[in-house]
Amino acid sequence: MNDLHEVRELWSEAAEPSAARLAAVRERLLEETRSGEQPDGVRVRRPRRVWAIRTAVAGTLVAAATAGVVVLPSGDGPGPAPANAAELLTRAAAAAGDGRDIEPRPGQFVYQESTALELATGNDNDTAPWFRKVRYQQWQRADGAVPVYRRTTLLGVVPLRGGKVSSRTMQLARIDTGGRFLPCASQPTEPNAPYAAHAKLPTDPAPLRSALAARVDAGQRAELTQDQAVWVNLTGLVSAPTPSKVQAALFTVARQIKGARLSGGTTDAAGRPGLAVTFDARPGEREDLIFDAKTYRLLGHRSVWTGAGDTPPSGTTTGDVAVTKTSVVDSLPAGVSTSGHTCPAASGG
Amino acid sequence: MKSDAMTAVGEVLPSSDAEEIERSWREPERFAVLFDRYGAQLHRYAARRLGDGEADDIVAETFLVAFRQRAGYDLGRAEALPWLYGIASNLIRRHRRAEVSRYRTFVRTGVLLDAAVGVAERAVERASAQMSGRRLAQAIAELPTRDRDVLLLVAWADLSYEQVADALGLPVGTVRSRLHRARTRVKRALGGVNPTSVHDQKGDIK
Repeated sequence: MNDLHEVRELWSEAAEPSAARLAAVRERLLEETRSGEQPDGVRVRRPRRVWAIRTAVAGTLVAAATAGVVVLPSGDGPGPAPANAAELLTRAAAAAGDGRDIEPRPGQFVYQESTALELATGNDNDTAPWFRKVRYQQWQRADGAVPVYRRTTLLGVVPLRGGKVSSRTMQLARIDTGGRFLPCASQPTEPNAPYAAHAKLPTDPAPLRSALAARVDAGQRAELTQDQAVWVNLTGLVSAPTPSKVQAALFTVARQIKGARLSGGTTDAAGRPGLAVTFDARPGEREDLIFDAKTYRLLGHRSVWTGAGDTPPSGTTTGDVAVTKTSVVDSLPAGVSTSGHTCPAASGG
Repeated sequence: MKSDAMTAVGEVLPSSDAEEIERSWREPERFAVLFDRYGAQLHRYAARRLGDGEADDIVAETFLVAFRQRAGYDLGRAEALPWLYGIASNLIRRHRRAEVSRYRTFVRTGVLLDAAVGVAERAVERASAQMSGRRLAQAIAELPTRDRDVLLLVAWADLSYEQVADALGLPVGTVRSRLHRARTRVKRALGGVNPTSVHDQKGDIK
């Protein structure tokens, strides 16, 4: 059979592109990787991102992963539960505005602990989709002079469709556990940006929204409406350590986004009862902000696959992050040296 | 291959694509490793189909799309190459008119527009090769897009049937039948038919 051979030979003299040309194409990718843009489809597994569970299938999984927690039918805060997203976000803004600032000094570290449920999807026969539950501990120097140090502890693995966890899945689930320094960041909407960068954000909703919109990148513009892009950037920012006035303004920005809606009672990744506001932030995916059902303080965020296809099934939580502790400490954990790990001074903020 | 190695934390193995992708969830820059592994060959493939000038954009876009979709990557697929070719195929499909028109220009004139370095020079030297080349190009131009994707992923990208199935999200049987169909057409074209008089259901070469 030489027909296939003939096709193979057709224009086969073409050389691969020059290194310089490839480098330019590669740079376009690198720009994107530095932009802080989150992946489409199934959400990125970052502790600052949030994810959640709504359907029976997903609810069961979370219950399994969080040792028997069940989804609450509704909030039970003081007074009547918020009737809609705007009410909840108004209360959340008030609660955040009343909160104490952590006010780290420049050389101090903001320590944040979170519990995350992360989905890894698969559709082959070797590795079925699975959730891993992890604890993240982050030490983030307030002035950003040192990159964020993160320690990841694997707490458990749950297959999406039940059954046994394969050794391959366990191997994959352990990837990226342990401690490491993360990439430097100086723009406030970038993942891992320091408190000092967040402290420069406007505390009025309108300019804050403009600041978020200004960070919408070309990729987001191509695929998302501006409201969606703002929501995506906003959910990435709200669970990071920020001054309380900034956080309050973020909730006000969220309230002004048309289409955000109350999705009702839920349980966060750490098992705490909460109320969620949700928005169809991407094609095939919604992103929720979860608030304490009584105090309206932010608990975390969650993304849920709503798209077609069955990998994962619609309604599956793709990422779920619950921030469980934020405090100020004077140093990195014992034994971790910053030697060789410094970040350039932020330019202009 | 100790069995306990599977559970050892921190075991260092040559990284699979899947591992690099998973790492890139938290270290986005790691994704460039995939570019370093496959960027050049994807570029060559795109250039062969759409022309040298389009290839930069197709490859850049392929990796941007892949990067944004990395959280949905099935980590059970150790090798990401079929996935990347699948994304590239989707992007190339958007340019199918330009692609077909380029092949047809070659059929009519023997000139391959916007050829990558190396092609134009040698194609002219090889007149006989060029003649069969024109017949081939004619056959390729007339294939339904879905059959062309399969044929060229096998012939130009050197993917196995299984990899093509993975790339295009098709059952392997469908890949086989499409390839069979495409090859039947190619054989017919190589059977001595004058490329300027080939007729097909939608033969529209003037």
